[in-house]
Amino acid sequence: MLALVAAVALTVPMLGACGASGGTTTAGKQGCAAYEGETISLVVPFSPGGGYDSYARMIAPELAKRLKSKVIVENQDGAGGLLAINSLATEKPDGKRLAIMNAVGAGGAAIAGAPGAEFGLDNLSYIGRVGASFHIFSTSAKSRFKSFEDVRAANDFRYGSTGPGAADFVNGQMLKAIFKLKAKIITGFEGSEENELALTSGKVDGMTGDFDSRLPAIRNGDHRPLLLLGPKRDPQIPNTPALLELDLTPQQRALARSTVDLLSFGRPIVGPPGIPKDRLTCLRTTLQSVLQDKAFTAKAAKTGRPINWMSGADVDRLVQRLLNSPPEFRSIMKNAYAGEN
Amino acid sequence: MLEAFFSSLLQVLEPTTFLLALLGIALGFVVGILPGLGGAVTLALMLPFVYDMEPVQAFAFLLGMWVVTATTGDITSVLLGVPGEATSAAAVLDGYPLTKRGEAGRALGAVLFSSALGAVFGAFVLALSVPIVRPLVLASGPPHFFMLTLLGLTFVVTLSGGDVLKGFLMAAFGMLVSLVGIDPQAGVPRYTFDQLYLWDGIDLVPLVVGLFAGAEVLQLMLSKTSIAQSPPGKLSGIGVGVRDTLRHWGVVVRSSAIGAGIGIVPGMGGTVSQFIAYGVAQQTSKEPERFGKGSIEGVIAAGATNNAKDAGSLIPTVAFGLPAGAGTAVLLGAFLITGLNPGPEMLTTHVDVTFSMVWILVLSNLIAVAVAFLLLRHLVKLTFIRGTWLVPFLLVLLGIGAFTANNDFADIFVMLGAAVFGVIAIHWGWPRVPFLLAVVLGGLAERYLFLSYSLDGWSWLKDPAVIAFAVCMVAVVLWPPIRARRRRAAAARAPENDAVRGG
Repeated sequence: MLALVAAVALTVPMLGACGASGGTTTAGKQGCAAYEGETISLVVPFSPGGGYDSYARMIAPELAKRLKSKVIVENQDGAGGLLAINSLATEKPDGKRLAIMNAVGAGGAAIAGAPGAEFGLDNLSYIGRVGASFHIFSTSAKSRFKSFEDVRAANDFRYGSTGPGAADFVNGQMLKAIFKLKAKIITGFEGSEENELALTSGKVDGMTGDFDSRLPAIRNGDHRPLLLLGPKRDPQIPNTPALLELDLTPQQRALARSTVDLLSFGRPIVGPPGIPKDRLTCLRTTLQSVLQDKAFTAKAAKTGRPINWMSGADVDRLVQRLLNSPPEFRSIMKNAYAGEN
Repeated sequence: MLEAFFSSLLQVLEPTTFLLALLGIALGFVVGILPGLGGAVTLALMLPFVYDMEPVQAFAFLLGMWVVTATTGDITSVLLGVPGEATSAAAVLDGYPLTKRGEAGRALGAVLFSSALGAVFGAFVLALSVPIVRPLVLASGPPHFFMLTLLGLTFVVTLSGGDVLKGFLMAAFGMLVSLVGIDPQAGVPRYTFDQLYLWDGIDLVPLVVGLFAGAEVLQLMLSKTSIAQSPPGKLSGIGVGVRDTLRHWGVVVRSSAIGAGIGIVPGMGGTVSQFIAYGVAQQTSKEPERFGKGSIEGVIAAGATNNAKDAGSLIPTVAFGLPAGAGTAVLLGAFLITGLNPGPEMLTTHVDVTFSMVWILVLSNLIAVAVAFLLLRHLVKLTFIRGTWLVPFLLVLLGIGAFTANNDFADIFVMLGAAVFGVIAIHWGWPRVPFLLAVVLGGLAERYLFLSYSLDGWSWLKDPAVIAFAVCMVAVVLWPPIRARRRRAAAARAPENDAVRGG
């Protein structure tokens, strides 16, 4: 009798255990279980070697470890990052194909309604933002433009840019519109590095670019930071004013706000529209745990790719705000992508 | 400064660093041989491994790998007519005909030895440029780069030797192809037929692979023989190639200088410099008519530029953080990872790291070439295998080569299209090089012209350096006919010579 009781006592929890594990398999794997042992592709919309590629290759093994799956990085270069996001948007929404998105460029194209952006910005599934760097407006350390006021007063300012559709071109158009700058935008630089060199040698008077990437030239004394296109000052350059702390009219502020919003969009990880809620939650919490891991963020910061996490839900709200931005902002965006100076 | 130069050698020879360099060399060796899988892509894949390395270690590993890909890329160009890298295409032009004649050993000896010499030359340029590089680069700008692209195009057309008109037409067609993509000024898609694939223009890797390798493989398929059509002759040894290189030291020096010089210019890089060096070698050669049919000078020119250009492209990367090409763009990431800021401090406080790069360039090339020499005897045997056996393997290589650059199937179609175009061009004697270079240079010329104009209006035309470039261009156009006339005049003065020529 005692033996029987013992046997029953032993089998009941075992049955329970079986039932529980059986339940998840029969009902289709829920949440994170759906990814165990599976392969997830993380698409980089550029060729290997750049910032997006570095972020993806840094994050992929951490995601793999936590999801108990294989995460492979796939480079799909083309059309300034639009090609990869367009094709991602038509994928099966099982969350096994994700991409790190060049949100300022590709997202900006969607807001501008530019040709080539064939996805709905508010349909994509946002897992979370990996990084974002506000942009810095800088001049050469040797130039006569020593403050942003000097630039506003000038009528022959030459602003260097890579070309239509690029973030530096959009920034230039926005600054021109907000401050009625009499600046000429010079396009055709191959990349921000070439633009930076033209600034150092005085061939152009100013440029804007990713703050983290421009910091070396500021530190070594080649460039002078005049305005941070962000909400508040950065402790690394405490004497440089931030765009949103300037004294602006409501109309100027609305444009400035949207400009900063677009830059805050940064580098999110996205999936196709319609990833089931349980899977999206799993991906979001897993990414969050990676990006809030102290050892991981310290390593990332050390390698010049700082993590600047924003939750998927917050990215959703940011996208809504951008899609409801003032009509003037969208019309400037439209012109900026069409190359109208 | 000199002290830093030698202490950096000790840093490179430090056991861990040296082992990492050897590891990089081994990787680069294999990657260089595989077509399509380029040095830049491999660098990017290896970047995460340098997180915990010291700067010199990281560069020993990465640079060792990167420069060796350019060296060994020439091996398949010569042996199979399949360039292992886009920058190895010029080695096909004369190296492959030599292989067909059964002189693969000689061609490989020459291309590898000149590669090593070119690397040493380029490294010297890099070391010597340290004190002057910043003012030099700051003084040059879009107008100079524009003139340089024009000079390159001029060379290309005169390079077509006898038939300048055919060369000009092929270059014009190449310019048209270079227009495909998003216009850099207005952001308007040109000739893209609503295909996003075409927004970035025609990619260079599938184009080069198809135009050179694809065309040769198609011909091999049709010929049903082995690549080498005659047994190895007396003059087929590796040692002969090495002696050839030493005999033509002028070609080595000129080609290395061209490689290092053009390597500095952003966007130009190895694809352009190899053909310009080849063109200069042809123009200065005593036997220009043998170019394209198996001239050892052509092989030497291609080899020497190949490695000198890497040193050149490091110059703006180190001094300004401005990458001159895809490879150096990835290396820039390594600077960030190891906590270095490219710019003045690389020439002052961290000058030892810059000098260590010089040593790595030299050492890794010497090691790679030594290893290659040991393996050559076996590699050469490949060329005596029946084509039917070799072709399927080559076709797979070509497909992978075209695909891996962007992971895009459309690239395979571009490769096939380029192969067909290449066969047609070879068959009817239309030069392929002007076409290819115009595709590369056309986009650059357009961009630099617009940039020059929007920066300075037309005042840049009065720049002395611009005028000097223009004079060079005129000289390049006029020199071949003048030389031909002089030769005819000399021949007329010496009728007995004429009789020999006639016979």
